[in-house]
Amino acid sequence: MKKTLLMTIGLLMLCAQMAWAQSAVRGRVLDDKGDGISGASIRVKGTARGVNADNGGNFTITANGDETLVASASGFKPAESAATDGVTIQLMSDKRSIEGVVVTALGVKREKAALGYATTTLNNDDINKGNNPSALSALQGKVSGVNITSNTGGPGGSTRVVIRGEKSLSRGNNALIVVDGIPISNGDRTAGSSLSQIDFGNRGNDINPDDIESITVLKGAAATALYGSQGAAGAVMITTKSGKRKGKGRPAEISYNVNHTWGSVLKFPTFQNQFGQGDLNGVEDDRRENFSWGLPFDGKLRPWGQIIDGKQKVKSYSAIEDNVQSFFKVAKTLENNVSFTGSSDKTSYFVALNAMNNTGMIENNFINRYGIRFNANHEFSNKFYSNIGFNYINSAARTDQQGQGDGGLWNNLIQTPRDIPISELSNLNDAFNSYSLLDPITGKKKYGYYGAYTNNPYWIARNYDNRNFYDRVIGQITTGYRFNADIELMNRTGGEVLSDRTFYKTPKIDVTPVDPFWDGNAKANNGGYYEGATNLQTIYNDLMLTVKKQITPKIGFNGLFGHNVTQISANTLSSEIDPTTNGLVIDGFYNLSNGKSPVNTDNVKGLERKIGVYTSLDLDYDKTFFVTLTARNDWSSTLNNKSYFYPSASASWIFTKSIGDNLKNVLNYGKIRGSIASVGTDANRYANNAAGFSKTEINSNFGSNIFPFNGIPGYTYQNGYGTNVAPERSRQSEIGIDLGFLNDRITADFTVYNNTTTNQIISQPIPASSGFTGRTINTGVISNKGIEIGLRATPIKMKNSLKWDVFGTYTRNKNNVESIADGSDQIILGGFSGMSIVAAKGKPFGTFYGIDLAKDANGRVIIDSATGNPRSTTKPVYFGSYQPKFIASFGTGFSFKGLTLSVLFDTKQGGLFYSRTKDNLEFVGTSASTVINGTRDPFVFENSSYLAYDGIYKTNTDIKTDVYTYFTSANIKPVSQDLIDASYTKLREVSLSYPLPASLLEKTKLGNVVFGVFGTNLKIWTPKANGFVDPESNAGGSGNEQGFDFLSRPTMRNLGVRLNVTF
Amino acid sequence: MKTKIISILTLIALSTSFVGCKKFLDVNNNPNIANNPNVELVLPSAQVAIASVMGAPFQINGSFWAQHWTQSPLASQYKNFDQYQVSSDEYNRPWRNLYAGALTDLKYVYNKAKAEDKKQYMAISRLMCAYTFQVLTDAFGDIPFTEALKGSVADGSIINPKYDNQEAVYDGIIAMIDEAQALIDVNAASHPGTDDLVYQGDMQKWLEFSNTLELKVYMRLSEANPTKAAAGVAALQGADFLTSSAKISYTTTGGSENPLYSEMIGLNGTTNIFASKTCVDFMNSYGDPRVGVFYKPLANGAVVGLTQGDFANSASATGKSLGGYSVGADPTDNNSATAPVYFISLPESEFLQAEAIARGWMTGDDAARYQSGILASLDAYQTEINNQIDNSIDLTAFGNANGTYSDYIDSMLLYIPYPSTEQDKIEAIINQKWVAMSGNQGFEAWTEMRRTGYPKGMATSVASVIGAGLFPARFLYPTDEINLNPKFPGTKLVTDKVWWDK
Repeated sequence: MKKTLLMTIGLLMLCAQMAWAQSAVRGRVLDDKGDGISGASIRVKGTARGVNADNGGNFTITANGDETLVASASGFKPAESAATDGVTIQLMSDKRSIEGVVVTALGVKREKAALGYATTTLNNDDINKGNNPSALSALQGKVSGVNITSNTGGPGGSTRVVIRGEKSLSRGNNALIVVDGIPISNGDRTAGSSLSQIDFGNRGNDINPDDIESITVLKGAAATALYGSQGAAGAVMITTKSGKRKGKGRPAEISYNVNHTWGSVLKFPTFQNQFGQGDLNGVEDDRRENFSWGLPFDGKLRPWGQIIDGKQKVKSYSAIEDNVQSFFKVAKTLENNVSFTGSSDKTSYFVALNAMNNTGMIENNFINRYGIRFNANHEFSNKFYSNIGFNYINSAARTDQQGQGDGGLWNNLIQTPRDIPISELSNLNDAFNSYSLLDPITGKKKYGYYGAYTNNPYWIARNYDNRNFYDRVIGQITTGYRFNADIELMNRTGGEVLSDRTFYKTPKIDVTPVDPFWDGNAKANNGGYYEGATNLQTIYNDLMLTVKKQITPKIGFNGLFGHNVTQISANTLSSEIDPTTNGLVIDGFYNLSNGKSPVNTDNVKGLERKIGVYTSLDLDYDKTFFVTLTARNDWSSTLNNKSYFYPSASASWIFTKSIGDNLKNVLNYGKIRGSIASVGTDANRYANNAAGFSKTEINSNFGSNIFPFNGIPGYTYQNGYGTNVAPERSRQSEIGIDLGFLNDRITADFTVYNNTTTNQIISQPIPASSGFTGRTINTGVISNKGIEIGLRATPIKMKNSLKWDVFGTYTRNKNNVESIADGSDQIILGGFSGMSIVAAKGKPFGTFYGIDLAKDANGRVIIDSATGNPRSTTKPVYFGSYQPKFIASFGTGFSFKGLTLSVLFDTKQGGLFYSRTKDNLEFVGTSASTVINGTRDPFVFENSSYLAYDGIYKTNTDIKTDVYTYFTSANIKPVSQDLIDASYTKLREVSLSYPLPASLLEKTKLGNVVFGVFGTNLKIWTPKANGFVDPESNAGGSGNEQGFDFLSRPTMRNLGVRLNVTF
Repeated sequence: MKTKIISILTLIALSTSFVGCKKFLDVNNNPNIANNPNVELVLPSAQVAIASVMGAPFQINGSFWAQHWTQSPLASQYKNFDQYQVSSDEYNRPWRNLYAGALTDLKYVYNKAKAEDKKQYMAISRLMCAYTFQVLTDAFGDIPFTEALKGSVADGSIINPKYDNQEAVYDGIIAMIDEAQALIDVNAASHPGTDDLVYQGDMQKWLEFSNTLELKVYMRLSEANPTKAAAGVAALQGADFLTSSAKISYTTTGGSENPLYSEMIGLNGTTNIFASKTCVDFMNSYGDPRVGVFYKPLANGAVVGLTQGDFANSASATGKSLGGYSVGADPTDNNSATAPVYFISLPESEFLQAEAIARGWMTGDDAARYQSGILASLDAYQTEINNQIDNSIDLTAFGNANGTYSDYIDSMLLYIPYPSTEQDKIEAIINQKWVAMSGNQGFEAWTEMRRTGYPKGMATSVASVIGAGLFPARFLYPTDEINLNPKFPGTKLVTDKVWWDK
């Protein structure tokens, strides 16, 4: 039908052409990623002639060769082109334009011009350029003022989003994630401590990036003042796609998008290739060793591993340069997205199906995630409307354990001596690699693996089985009533239901070596099994009344009055056969009935509720001056129903409305903005309770006693209590300016802010001699001051659609812990006993604290003249923090006739991270850093001195330090030597996409077809000192424990192809 | 009209939210904790907590410094003890488990028992408190005592308790014991039952415990304040002393295992504990059959110790004995799980009396006490010794090859006669106490070494980093206390002696 219509029009045009000597000009209107814009309007400039494009953006219009076509579409900037047949007109999205509409707190849409605070909005295309399976990670390098760390660089793993610095000692510093007006939970799916963590990523990463229409990052307190408690760390507002209602009855559109990604390790440590297995200070060629402190390679044949049945393997004694690399496979991710969009004049809908199937770089690791989204809205009448949005997500994943211990994969892998062929170890049926040879006499198991001190990484990958499954429904229903054009009452009910299950299998092992010479090198683990289930429910209800009123022709008013009820409940039930205090009876039977002793079961229930009333009042003068005042009062159950109030005020002035036209030709837009706000935060639930009793579990360093003790029940007094705390307070002020030059060819925004968080609710550690180890109090002040800059320019923009864009961001945040509490100057955020990560008075949040090399007054390292070993400080000292000095990004994009190329670099400079990977590699002697000046001969410690006589230190030129002793002895190399400069620059994203020309698609039913090639984290540049790992890899999930490579899994580089088709 | 509708709607919205708002928000009672449990649920927690410290960290540390044990060259967990280079971090957890664990629970038991007039619970809780404070002050010297355990709001929020000097702490401990003795009624109808994991509520035994503890406390002052010690001991003349060891028993059930065994399993069964040559050679010198009980005999039946601290030489590992399962020290034998942890042992009680008599502070037959101390220790391991005899393990060096248990004992006793002068007697008593405590009361053995200087002529660990001839004289204050308590008086060196160590 439509085709006939078009043909008729075409025929009519043909007639007209004959009459006016005009011809039919065929062309296509594309958006900035090369998709056709359906329904775009095309006019001949200066005439009344105009047509609308079809679904694929194709049009035919009658025009003269010397006439000009003007194409426009809602959401895009109009563009012009000569009326030549086959013309492609590309329209640029104006979502980023200064005058756009943004989603603010509570999901309220507002003109960006009216905002007195900084926000950044990214659209679907910005987010999906790199096809990052995590929408949060996809923000890296694209938003100023935000510090994003994604600790795997691929599917799974956690992403931390910190806006304008760490503010809170005990509440998380991750931004609030809001989907279509409903906050969603963003907890870590992790198990174990950061020293042996199993990390399935955080929940904020569950939203399928393809379903996202836009993300707005609300940075300042004024932006989030209306969220109160939950928004104190800033908010990431996600708006999902909805069926677009453009005019009457648009037909359904089907969009299909498939991409395939290949992933590999981004950065390996730099290994040495000169020395092999052995221990020069013990047995030179000890074949049990994980030490590469043996003899230099000579290429001669040499036996390795155990003697089994009188046989031993033989290989050349030389380095296998890529032996660690050979363990990793190419990770593969296949993503399929199908979506259906449609609308009638009263209803529109969006349905999307998503499947992500991933197999990891490590054998047996995988993630399969499926999602369904249904968004719809309906106008019941002119006054009454409703919309609904539901998202169901199902995921199954398996991952390896990081960190130390028998099951720590990376840890066991990287300790392999340089000459041991790792890939040969993969055959576990080979007696020389196995753990299950049966001794015919004793009936006990024997192992043939070469190493006495590590486990076969293949055996770990196949036997330590850690899985996570979850089902999650996130949704909201909104109904609204418009009394008239100015007054509207709206109610939104939403929340989520999450069921999350984890299963961990620890294999039982009790083996002795085959070779009797190795006796004493037995390996034992009782085996264990863990099952845990978490059910989480959140409910948010917002009732909002909005009032618009043009008080005078110049003065406008906007009012919002609202009421919120929040309920969060969580229930965790876990049972465990613990390998230490219990164990499996039958090997390989992973069932809770298979424990030697009673199974330990634990349940934790939680419920918290909050009630809030709020208002936001906006006034504008001539759409030039804007003032917004907000106020909110909350009552929170976690503060024992205490009431707390917090206000904000912001203002902006578009000064370019008052400047002359001459200047306007250069500076077309300018806005000055400023805001001041106070935010209140409540306590973690039950933190404010008096101490009670819990079932007794006494933990020693590695063992424990658990009640019931031989059948006798026991309860113990808790070690902490609440002190009836008041809310935590955060005060923030910011000023900024937004500028547009040369008709927005160059745009810039600049913001300065100052944030102080006081009255923090923390569990203050107190001396155990008081009978308690902590109590919840209000204390502590943290300040954050910073600047953030965003720049964008279009140096080339040609009529032939060639366009070149550049953009960049710069973020600098200065954080300082002003005070902690009377009598306590620091709080431990993470780390381990040797190297703590602390919040300490006068230092930035996340400062490292540990033993350093002792230095003389001139800063030289003091060498013990008798042993040649450097001296260490007797007490821990403070080092730098994990916070970068600044974060910046640079991106550029080219587009020409639909073909687009974009490239994004980002960098973090400054800051430190602790690397246990480095420590372990140096201990076992595999890293290049254990070969000094090309040898392992004793060396003169750089910039060192020694105590010549009483109090006088002389420069050391000849006292030598023994390389082996320095790296392998306990307490000689201080832990400070494993702190590494965390600076890096990454080629974060590259994307090339090419839409098939309209002419090729004309005869098909396809709307448009776009091919793309993309890559993320393609390359990393780090300082020379970091010959170890990507500083983004972190063992502490997305919490406050950052900069902590405790043998964490290496991060990924990804390369992929994609195809988008619309029908 | 319009405004009317708005105001009505606003009113409805606001009123619905405030009605029942209080009740709606009243959900902050933590469902995961229990309140006000009965005393019988809390007493056993405290007892096991104390035993977990005495049986694992203090046992290991004590037996290394008493030279019962030394680090295996095949592993490295306890090198720091042999190096005498311990870190303050080492003591955080035991300090926490005693103060914020056991003592806090005992305080609750005492207060609740007092409110409910359960005098026998009050007495037991006081005695366990006194015992624990003595361990703490013996380990660390000056400690928080009078202001300790008062961190709660109800107790005035004393979160930074001051440190009392050791002499005052000892006075406080004696007062606690006296209070407990006044409360004990051996005929009380109401007393604990199986929840008392030490004596199952037998108050006669607790009375004996109280006297023995008091004797132990006064004897510790023998060098620092002999007058006071003598008077205190004299007052105990004729009192009932222990007739059975005060101990916690364990089983092979996970969570109820000997804490040292649990510790070793937590370390994946790695063998760290080797027999020290010092103790093994001493026991072998007179054919003590317990050497094969406290240590694991080699395949040929011999027990061979490693030179104290000689872990650097991995070749020296061959042909050396591990710790024995009877003291919970053999990770490869799950009989280790059932080794008891002693608070005060019967042999210890006998040796304390023998020494008191030898010093002339008490009347009685010190030679008989000395011998019954040795016999009590041997009897405690009679089954294991008999097993060795049955297995024809060579115990014949000094005795009858085909003998019975008592034959061995008799011949052994011939080689350790009781001397005649006071100092020689004390030396003999402490030497045998040190042997009897090998690997099962390591902390007390090391503490008595500090007090008396016996056994004489011990060489420092070859791994020592603190200088020749120097021995550790205390545990280090825990890092948490150094960092968190502004009243903390200042760090000490591992060689700084405590007050009673003169």
